[in-house]
Amino acid sequence: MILKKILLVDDEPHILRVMKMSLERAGFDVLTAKNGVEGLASVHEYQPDAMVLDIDMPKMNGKELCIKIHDALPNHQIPIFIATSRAEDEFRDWIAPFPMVSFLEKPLSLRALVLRL
Amino acid sequence: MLLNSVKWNKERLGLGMIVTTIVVIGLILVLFFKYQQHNQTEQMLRQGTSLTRLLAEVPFEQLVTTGQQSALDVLFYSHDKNDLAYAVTVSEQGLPLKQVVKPGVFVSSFQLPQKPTHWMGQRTIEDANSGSSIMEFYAPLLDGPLLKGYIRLGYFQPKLIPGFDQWSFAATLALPIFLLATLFYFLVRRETRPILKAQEAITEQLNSGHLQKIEISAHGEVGDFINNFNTYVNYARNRIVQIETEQSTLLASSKVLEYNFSKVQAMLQALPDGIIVLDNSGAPVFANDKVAMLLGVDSEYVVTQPSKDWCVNETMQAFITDCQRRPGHPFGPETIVLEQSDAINAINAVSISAQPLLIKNNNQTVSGTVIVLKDASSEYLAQSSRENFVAHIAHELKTPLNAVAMYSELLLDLGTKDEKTITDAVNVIHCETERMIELINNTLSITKIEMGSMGVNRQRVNLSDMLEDAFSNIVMGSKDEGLEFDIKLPSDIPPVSIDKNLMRIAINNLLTNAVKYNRPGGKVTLELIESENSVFVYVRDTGIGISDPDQSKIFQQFFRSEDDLVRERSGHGLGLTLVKDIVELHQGKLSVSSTPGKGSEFIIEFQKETERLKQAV
Repeated sequence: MILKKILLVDDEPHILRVMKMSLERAGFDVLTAKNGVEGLASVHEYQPDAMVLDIDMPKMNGKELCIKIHDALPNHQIPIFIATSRAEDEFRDWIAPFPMVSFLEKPLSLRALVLRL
Repeated sequence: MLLNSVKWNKERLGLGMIVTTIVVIGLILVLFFKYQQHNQTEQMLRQGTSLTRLLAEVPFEQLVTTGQQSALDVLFYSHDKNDLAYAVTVSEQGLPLKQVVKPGVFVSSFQLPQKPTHWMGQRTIEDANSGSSIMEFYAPLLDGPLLKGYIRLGYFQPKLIPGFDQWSFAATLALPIFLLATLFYFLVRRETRPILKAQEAITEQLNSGHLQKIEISAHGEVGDFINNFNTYVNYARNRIVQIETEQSTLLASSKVLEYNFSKVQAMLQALPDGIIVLDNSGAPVFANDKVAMLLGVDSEYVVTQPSKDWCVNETMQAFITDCQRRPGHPFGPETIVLEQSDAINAINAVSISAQPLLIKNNNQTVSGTVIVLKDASSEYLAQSSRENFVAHIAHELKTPLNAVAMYSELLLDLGTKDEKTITDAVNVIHCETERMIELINNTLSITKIEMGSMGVNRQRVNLSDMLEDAFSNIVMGSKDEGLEFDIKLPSDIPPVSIDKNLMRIAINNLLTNAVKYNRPGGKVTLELIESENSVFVYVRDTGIGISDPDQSKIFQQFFRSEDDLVRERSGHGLGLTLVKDIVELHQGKLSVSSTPGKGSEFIIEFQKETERLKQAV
């Protein structure tokens, strides 16, 4: 089994904790960041195979982080999953230009997350 | 000017008649004299020819005899007319043999005729002495076949201008003509006098501007003319009076119409909504000032310019275009939300509807469309705020639910193998459940307060007791946090009139925050201080503090600081909003002072009951 490097970005420490634990148990190599700024730095250093972001974070939210990643790596092939509880179009339309970005519905299911990854 | 012109015309007529008369007289005289001259010449030719022939038959001797018995003398002196200039007998060589000549006349030499056929004849001679033209007749004097000489008779040719004797005749002829002309002139003057008077009267009327009858007596055609003119004046005066009456009626009607129009316009202006009236062709004919306020353009502009120039919002423009394409057709109502760039005068939403403009007659004629624009900002904001609030609460609930879902899933997968993880998971689930309960409680309280359904149930409360109770609960719940707690309550504070349950929520929220945002080993202090008119509740902590920009926002709904230290702690941005609502419901004041890294102090100030009563009185 090929270990996938997953970068988790969330401002809630216990969410990061449980997701990290579940993904590691499923065999993924996991790195966490507690906000968008840290997340962006980790993308360059860690070069993850996939990312799971929370949308609502201080300093740099999930949307801003996606745009920054796209600006820095325009043709990147890293699947980015954004966890959000907002279903309205106005909160989701912005991903249209970013083919690698998709949404995960909150509350998240850890099993579903593992399957997606 | 006109009068002068009339006088001059009058004089010109007289003058013209005099000149014409003189010319006519002169012409008649010239023709007459010409005719007379012609007759005299004819007579002279006949007389001269026949007399010359007659004298040629007279014996030669009688013609050449000197003395008074000469035939020539007899002829000359017996001639009753004064036109004979001379009578001369000449030899065959042309030498004068006998001559009788009027004094002053020179008899020219006689040129002998060459051929016998030319012996008798006539010729014209210009006499330089008398200055007259002389017609000479000559004939041969024969004795048998023998030519002995010639007889010559000279006649003055008749002149055009006659002698004095003729002038008397001319005067006799001219006088009646002149008299007739004068008579004619006076007759004409007499006939035209009423016309001139009428003309003067009309001129005066033109100058004065008053139309009235002309009082001039005249007969015949002039009389008829004046009568007709007076009839016309009478008709014109009646017509003018009629037109003036009609005009004043029209003026009065137009003033009534103008007043009614102004009244309708004022009513339309007084309406709280914007009104645009389209005619049957779909063109805007009226827009009140409210339209100007809603669309941000002058109402005059709406009436004169195409809709794309005064309606920025595309949806609204499409609505208006539909109304213009189908006049008299009802549309809407439709609420149009204005983009930030289109929003004018802080109006975020406009409700637009169109109704046919019906004129109440027998058939209820459709005469256009009335478009009504309403400021729907408050409805829209209320609706949008409700939707936002619900969406926000749902979002805030999903965050702890997310943690609960994940940890419960983890527990299911783990079974009972990992004690530490199980404890951690159960703790998280417990905390997140507490967070949801707190969120739901705060939401319910805020909703009740902001909807106005929660009144203040004031009771006389011993504030010290209430604070001590709330404080001890917090201390109990936070015994594992490693914090120091301090409470300073004076014992003799008089009771205050507050809603005990609500105020407890407020104090509890402040104390919970003081614990939540504290540091390990920090301190939480609750203090009550009394002044002359007020009591002050201080909630202090030595925690992470609040930055200056955040201090003005912490009481807003759902506000969460971007600070990592804040985000590490769970929260939903409603606790302080609720504290503020509760304090304001008690007419109290809530304030905050804080230094980032050192701690925060929240102060609630209540007026004492005595002060409140004083103010009420």
